[in-house]
Amino acid sequence: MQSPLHSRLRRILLERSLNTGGWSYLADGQQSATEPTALATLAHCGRPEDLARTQNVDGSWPSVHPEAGAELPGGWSTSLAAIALLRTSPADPRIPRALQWLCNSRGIESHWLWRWKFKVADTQVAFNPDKYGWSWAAGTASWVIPTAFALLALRIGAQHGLVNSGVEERLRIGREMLMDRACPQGGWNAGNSRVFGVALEPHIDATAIAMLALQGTAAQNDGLVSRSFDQLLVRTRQCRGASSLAWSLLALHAWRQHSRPAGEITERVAQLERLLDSSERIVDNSTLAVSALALDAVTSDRNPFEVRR
Amino acid sequence: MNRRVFTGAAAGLAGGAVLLKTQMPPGVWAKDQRPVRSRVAILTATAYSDKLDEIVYDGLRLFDLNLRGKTILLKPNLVEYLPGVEVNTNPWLVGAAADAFLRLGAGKVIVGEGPGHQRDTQLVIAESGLERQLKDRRIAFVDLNRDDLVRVKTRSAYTNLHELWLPRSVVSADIVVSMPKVKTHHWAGVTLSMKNMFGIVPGAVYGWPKNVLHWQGIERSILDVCATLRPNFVIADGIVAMEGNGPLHGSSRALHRIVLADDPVAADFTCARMMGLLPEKIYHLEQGARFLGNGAVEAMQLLGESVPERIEPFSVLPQFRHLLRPAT
Repeated sequence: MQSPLHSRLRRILLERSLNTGGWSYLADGQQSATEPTALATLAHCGRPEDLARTQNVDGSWPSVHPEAGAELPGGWSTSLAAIALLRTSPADPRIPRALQWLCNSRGIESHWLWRWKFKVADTQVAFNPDKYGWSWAAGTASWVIPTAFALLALRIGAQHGLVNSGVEERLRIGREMLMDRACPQGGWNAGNSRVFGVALEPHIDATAIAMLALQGTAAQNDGLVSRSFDQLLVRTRQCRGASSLAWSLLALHAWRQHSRPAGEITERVAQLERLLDSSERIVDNSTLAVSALALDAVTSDRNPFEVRR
Repeated sequence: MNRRVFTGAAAGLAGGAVLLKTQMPPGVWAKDQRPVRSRVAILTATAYSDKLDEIVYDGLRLFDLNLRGKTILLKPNLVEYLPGVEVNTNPWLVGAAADAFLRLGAGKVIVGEGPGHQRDTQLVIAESGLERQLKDRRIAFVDLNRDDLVRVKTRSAYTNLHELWLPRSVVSADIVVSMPKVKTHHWAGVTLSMKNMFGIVPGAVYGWPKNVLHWQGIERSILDVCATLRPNFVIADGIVAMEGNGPLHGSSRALHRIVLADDPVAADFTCARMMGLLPEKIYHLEQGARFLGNGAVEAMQLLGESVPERIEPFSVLPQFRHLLRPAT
């Protein structure tokens, strides 16, 4: 049963779809972007084919398709595209190439030279470069959100038998990377726990997305993850960002068996509904789509980011 | 927050990085963009309040800008919201600037920013108080991390990027106004109007943080971004600045000044001097003064007050002690 708000969000999303297929990030944008298109596809507003046909030759997806003839290199949004296709069109032949691209992609600190440099010379940012994950763009370091999305895509792909067993090692190191980059008080930001000796604050969306990646893994019994869950609850009590709140709802829903946050979920749904009343808060189509997904998860128990055993 | 990397990492082997940084060959920029003379106005402002409306308006009038019908993009520095810490360009100043440009005949004013740390831009503008200001004054905001993109060839070659994908709203604006918060910066020494332009580079392509730029070298990237899209005007928030471990974890430092300028290099040299620092020792400022704007006092026309004669230098992290102006 869909709520009136959920129906309204989907209606706005459909109105904003581009004539050429897909969605731009912003309401008045004209260039298709992978993140809003993947999230809208998951919200059953878009056709998987529109997402699939924007794949690069190498199996990746660029984050934006800015102009005819310009193909940006693939990056972090490949994971979201793969998740969307796995959930809506699992037999699509483009999925294995996407997952293979993800398996081959890694943060630059996985290279021995940079690992050595981060251990010996460049130590102002506290992190263990042996624990690497995925980057936003090729040739750069691993960060929390791209790593979390890649872990989710590969785990879901593994459930469909679309990745080989060798991926387990990447998943393990990726999970360890997330644990290594967590803030000392729990939760995650972009991926810097401590810089120049100062502990940094967690961000709501990064915490929620990392929690989604760690659901149902051995890490869920770790004290750091418990503290992260607490951070998520505390920081979303007065949250004024719809996107952050929607990602949090998806995470709270995925963790419902483990942490039983039923009352907290109800409160945050009410918060999200209030935030979405304001037109300037739904300028971003990704926010619209992820909010629709969050509402659908808590009302209909359909959470595309939940990895069921 | 940045993951520190070798300066010039992408340029090749690690051993060559320092050499590249200090010995940039001539001809690295496409065009000398320095004006014959730059105009700078230092104005006293003691608090964030609606009194800023008149101060900024009066300050802008000193420049006699031709704004008739033009589209102005204000680019404040919004990093993230930390309760009780003056991290961001204060919303009162952004609102006052928007109002002043409109009063002086601008056709349209929009505020644009692409925060480097927080993906949830809406959360940052709500928590920072900017949302309220924009709503009250009916000013539109554009998320530069997610705007449509335009490919632009870089106009200098400090990095190996060769081209940048930049937000359409910025590229198509008639006048881009960089509105930095005056702060020290633990990687670049200072973050002023030039460093503030990092925020026009879209996170959707370059990441959160904009890690591609970090791997190219932060100061080199500042130069390439500013050479490619040189801000036309600066309104710097030095009412409450930050010293020490900026840009997030430093201490508040009241300067009680705003700095207006029609040249980003002149603005940044002036701000650095007001911080008690030696701007010519800050790499991106020193290089910027060779082709982007004027650093020499003789090339600046002061329209407002002078740089205060007695300045207690800003505290800096140990690696930036060489930037401190010696006591006279």
